[in-house]
Amino acid sequence: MSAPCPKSFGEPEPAGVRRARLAGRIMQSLALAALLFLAIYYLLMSGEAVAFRYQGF
Amino acid sequence: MSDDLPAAQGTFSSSAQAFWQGFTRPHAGTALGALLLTLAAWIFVAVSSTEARVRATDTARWLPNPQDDWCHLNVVSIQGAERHADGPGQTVVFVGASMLRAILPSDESLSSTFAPAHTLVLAGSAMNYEDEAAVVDKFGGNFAGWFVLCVNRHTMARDLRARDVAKKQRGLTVEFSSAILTEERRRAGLPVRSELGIPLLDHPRIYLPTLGGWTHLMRRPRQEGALPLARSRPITGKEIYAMLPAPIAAAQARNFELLGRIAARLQANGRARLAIVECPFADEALPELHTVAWQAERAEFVRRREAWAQAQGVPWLDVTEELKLRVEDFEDPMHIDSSAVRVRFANAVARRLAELNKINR
Repeated sequence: MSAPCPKSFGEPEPAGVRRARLAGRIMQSLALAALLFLAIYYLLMSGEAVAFRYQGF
Repeated sequence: MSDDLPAAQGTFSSSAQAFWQGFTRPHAGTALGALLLTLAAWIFVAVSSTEARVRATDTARWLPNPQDDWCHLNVVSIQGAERHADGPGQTVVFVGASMLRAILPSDESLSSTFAPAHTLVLAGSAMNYEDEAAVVDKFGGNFAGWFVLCVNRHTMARDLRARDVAKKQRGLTVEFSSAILTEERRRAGLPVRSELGIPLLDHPRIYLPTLGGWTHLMRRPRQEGALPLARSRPITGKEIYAMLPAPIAAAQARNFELLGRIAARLQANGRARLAIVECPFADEALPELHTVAWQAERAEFVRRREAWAQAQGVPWLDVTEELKLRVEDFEDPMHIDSSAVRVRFANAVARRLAELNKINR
């Protein structure tokens, strides 16, 4: 499913639409950054000697 | 007015469509932005992960798991005497392995036994003597009161190298930079950790679970709870005998020297005084194990510890007789599971320290 072309050739895009697209991209960046941050966090936390694993000694 | 509404709806619809497009379509700029944001977030976590910040914030902030005894002792050691031993009276700081935690009563009971002195327990499962030296040094001795170090004659004469790997895998390790730990581990022939100078990377066990001390803003407080140390059946003499490590004279001599260095550093740098207290193993409570060889070995240890105490000017408290131990009082060959013994132990140590306070006054 392809989205319609945002503007016709030569026709300026309304400022509101441009701002909305920019906001969408910022949100995409934030969501990707959050996912990446969490992925690195859980990767590091799964490593040895980070999580507390008391099994009696 | 009636013409404006569809026009406004059209603008909103195209804006929403553009937002959705921006949000869902891959874009090099957003990928780069995400990478930069992630990097910035990790830099923020790394910058937050410093000993200075641990000292400046609440202890609980750094303890995501209240059962994690090592995390507690690491954080409290970093925060040090200035934070935890600056009250009006004396402070008694107990340092030792899990057998110390097992032989001490609850924190409330311990406090009331030692009152008006303030008590603090820095106990970690499988803590060795190199760790004890590092904890004492990090906590700092510039306070009025006592460091009470827990020792045991069997653990003093044990080769702990094989255990060291398992300790690391289970996260039962000192997690702060310590020149003393490095020096003592070198002397003991144990591997020394190389550090990058970035606490988050050097000591992730302290800083990573709380993301540099920020996760308290999101997490619910967890209930305090005791470690699950359930005993299924009484231990037997045979099991106790099997658990006793084969004594290694060199290890014992090295640990006496290590304790001597702790005493010397405290005498040189602090007001706090040092006392050594013995935490007994279950063999003390089982006469069938008291063979001639066992008695000779014990007598030799007593001779050595008296010579050490005399030379260092450090009291060595052996309160084993006052504990009136029975095999049933032990959870396993090393850990006490009797509230009566715990109370007797706390009373005996408190009495001895009070006598020493009078002598030194």
